[in-house]
Amino acid sequence: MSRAAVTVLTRVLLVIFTFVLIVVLAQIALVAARTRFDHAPIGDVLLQAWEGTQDYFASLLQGSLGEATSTSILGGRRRSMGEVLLDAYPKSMLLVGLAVALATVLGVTVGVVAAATRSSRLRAVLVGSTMAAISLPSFLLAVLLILLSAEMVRRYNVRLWPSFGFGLDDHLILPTLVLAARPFAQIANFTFVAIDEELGADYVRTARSKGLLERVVIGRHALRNALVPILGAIAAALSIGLSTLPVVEVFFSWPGVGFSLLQAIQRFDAATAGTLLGALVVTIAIVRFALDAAAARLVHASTGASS
Amino acid sequence: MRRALTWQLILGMVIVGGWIALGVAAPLLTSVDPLKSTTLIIDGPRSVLAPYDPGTYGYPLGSDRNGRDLWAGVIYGARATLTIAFVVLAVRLMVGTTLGALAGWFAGSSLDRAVSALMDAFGAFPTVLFAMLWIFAFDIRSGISAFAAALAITGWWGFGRATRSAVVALRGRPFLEAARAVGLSELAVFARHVVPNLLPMLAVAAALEASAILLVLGELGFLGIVVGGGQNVSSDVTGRGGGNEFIFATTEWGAILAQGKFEIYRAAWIVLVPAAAFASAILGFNLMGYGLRTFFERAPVALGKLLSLRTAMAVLAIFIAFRLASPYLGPAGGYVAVAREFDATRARAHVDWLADPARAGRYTGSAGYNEAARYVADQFKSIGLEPLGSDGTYFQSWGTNIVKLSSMPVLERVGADPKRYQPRVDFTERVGGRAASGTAEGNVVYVGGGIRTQEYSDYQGTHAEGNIVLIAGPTQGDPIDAAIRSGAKAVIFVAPPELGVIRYSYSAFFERDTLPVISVSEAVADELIAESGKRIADLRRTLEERRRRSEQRPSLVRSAPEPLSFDTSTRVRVQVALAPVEPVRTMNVVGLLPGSDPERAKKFVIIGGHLDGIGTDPDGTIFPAANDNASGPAVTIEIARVLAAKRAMLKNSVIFVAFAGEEEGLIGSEAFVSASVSTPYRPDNVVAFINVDMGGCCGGLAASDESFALHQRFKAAAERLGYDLEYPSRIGGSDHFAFLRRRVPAVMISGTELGPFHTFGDTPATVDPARLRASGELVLQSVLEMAATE
Repeated sequence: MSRAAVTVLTRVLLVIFTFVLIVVLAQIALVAARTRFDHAPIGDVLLQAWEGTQDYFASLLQGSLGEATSTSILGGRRRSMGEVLLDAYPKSMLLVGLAVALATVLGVTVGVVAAATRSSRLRAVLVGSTMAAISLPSFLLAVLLILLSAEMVRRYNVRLWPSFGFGLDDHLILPTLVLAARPFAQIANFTFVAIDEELGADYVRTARSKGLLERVVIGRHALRNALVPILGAIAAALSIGLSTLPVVEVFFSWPGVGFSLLQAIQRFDAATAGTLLGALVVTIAIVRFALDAAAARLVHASTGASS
Repeated sequence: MRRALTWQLILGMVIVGGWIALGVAAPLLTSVDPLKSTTLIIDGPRSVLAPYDPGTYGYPLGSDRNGRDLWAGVIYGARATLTIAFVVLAVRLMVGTTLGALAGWFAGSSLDRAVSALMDAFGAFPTVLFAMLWIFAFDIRSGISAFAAALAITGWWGFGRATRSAVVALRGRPFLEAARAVGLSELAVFARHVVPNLLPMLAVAAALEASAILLVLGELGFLGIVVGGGQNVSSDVTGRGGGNEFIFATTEWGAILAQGKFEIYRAAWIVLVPAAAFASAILGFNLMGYGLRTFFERAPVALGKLLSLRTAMAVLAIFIAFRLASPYLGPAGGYVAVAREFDATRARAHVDWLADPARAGRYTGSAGYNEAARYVADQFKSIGLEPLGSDGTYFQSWGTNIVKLSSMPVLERVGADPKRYQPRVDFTERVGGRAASGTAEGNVVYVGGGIRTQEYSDYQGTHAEGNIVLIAGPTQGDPIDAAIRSGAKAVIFVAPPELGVIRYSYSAFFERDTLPVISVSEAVADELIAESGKRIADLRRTLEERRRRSEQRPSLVRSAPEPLSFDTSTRVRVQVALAPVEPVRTMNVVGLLPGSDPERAKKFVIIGGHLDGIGTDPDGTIFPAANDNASGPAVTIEIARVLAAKRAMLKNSVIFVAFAGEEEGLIGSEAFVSASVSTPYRPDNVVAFINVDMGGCCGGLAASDESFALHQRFKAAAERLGYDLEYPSRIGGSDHFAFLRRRVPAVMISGTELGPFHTFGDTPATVDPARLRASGELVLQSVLEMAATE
């Protein structure tokens, strides 16, 4: 087997391990939660969780995810878990995808500008605002935006955006903005630090002394070398986005995975929670590995070129 | 040289330090109780409902919907919120750095691979939802500890990753080789040269981690996951109509946030105040983190100097000293000596008198009960309690109905191999509701748990009509009703092995369509179905296993399973003979110890237990009812004696009560609470009800947890006294349910095991003075902590 194949295999195994782990942990936690009132000893809890896990994987291997017991967002009827997943997952991923894309574009731009600008005042403003954005809790931003739209309607009769609900139109604006805020700050900060460091490096001085345009120096040299930490920041941004997802979905009544998960957990429904958490976890793991692979290729390319 | 002390670091430390100071100094900054609610203020001609705007009616930051002061809430809330953050931080730091350092030091080993895989996996879990899982697993009602444990599990990997990569980077450095060359052991190299180099990195990471923890706490709060769990109450109760109201019992930023979420348009400040508190604290920690990073870059300080055996020992000594001293700190520690004054010998003497055969089992309405009630009243009088009964006596009298057996019940096998079974040994009768008098003869039909619903019937394939059904297994709905609908002539239950054959309480309330009902021991049941070759224990186990599976994963159970029921040709005769229901007058015994503080005396703590027993069998055998429950009034009397001697300490009033009619369905306690609505001690004014029931023997000391906060309070008190407090075994209700129904916090103090209750064997000999002492001291300590503290 080639080295590349081994690497890929290891990664696939790690994704599977992460998935199995979250299913097992969800079983243990929710069986414990369900049996709290009976003061069940830990042995019983573990035994029941073990049986639940067996049942879960047995039905998974038969190609079925079983039935979801969630009701309220599904209009009260029982649906197969596959349906629930197909319904909720794309809605969530659309939000997260949009948010991370927005955060990446804005974040890299702001980071580069802050590092490249000669105006120390602009730099201070940009760096300061990323710091503020990183410290801004999603719920505060959500409430402020809602209040802003209410105020706009009240004072100027201007309707900025719909405040709540699902729709593939301007309903996307508020949840995406709230989801993107902290990832944006994270990416901007990492980009700024990375580019700032690169700009002090010898090769940049050489490039500059050759008379290259600053735009070319940054775009072609510094940014390319800073890509590895930026990719890392994007992976972290995705984690932040998925972590904030339930807050955003519940607050804006967006019927996605976070919303369904919250209900499953509060109902102590271990199988549903395991499936939905598993979907999120596998997503994070795959994207993270893809970004890692991209970063590895970049490192390989640059070291290959220099040698 | 640029300045190491940047404005970020200073501002960050000011913000974080400021919140800590506000939290610590909260009682000095406001005299308002953060949980005190005021829902209506009369302002001249207007009456104003909460929430109140910031700056009005003495609310600097406004109030929430219950009129709780947000300024007090936010500064008191800083205590709980920051405590959780720091505890979580400490645990994450310990676990994360230990695992990360091991993985880094042994990089490439299988240990490293395992730890790294775990860190990767945990790193991929969505934080807030994963934390929620564990908060529920550790029981959200247990408060701060559940949050701390859950958040520690969720986030240990952050420090792990940082430490691992730092250690890996250090590992190849020449100064470690040099240290080894000098002859230092691996451990010494690690402790002296690696750890000090990690400290700056860890300090920076800790500040950033604290901000991440606060963010998660805020998001959890916003989702309604708050310390103690909170309660959703229909707001119709307050007469304002519509919607739910969220009530929390622990002041914490997340809880205020959870509640404010519903009021964004009408009262935005409720959510903005705690959200701003979170945001500022998060910003403070972030600034501190970045500031520290710059600080260590510009001014390399040897933090390693701080790290010596001596400092470690000093920290450890302070920690141990604090841990040892903490139970005795504050006023609660001082009450221990008072609680120890409980006189167990005297309590045991009361048990001896009350459970004496001369009292004939103290059946409600009987002469024996009335004698016992006079005894308790005399004790209350000699102690100096004020009478709180009717007409200046200690007796609160009321009427009820009772029912008795007219002859001993009968169970016999008829036919070729006849056998007569022994009542109270082999079988026992059930009385009340649809179980009443009657004689029946028929074949025994085993019908599992006796379930008969649309989807599933345990009666399927059997011939219950005109016969006698035997029920053993998990049930659903009312199995007696199902038996009557199936045409059965009598019902035989199999007594759960852990209870055995006991004399059940009788309820004198009967419905239409009744039949005789008995419980038999498992051995007798096995005899009755012997011809099938099956055993009750196996059948029951199979059915229970099915039930458990279907509850656990309903989606896997695709079709209703086959019932295990079958007919037999064993013929039995069952007879239960009851005398007519008779009305009786009876009484509770009630005494009062008024509080010394005129305001607080208007709030009451009630302590008591039932005095009645299950009487005497028609054959003359007496159920002494010593532990169930002569022990309760005995302990109550001695608690009253100690508290009466220390009455100056009591700020709140304390009521002592012994109930009749508990065995007949909590009638005495219900009568007491119903009558209390027109008295000063109506449910509104009762701080807590403490039910002492079966606290004199068998197993460990236990307190029930229907009111979780009250249970926790007793647990803390038990700890100060050096007792382990556990949960009682669940067997239906006791008198505290009459109070719980009115939302009065109530707890039952008893043993973890039931002992010989409801048998002839429940004699004073089984009552252990040490256990009486434990119950008495526990109640005393808890009551003093509630009613005596400033």
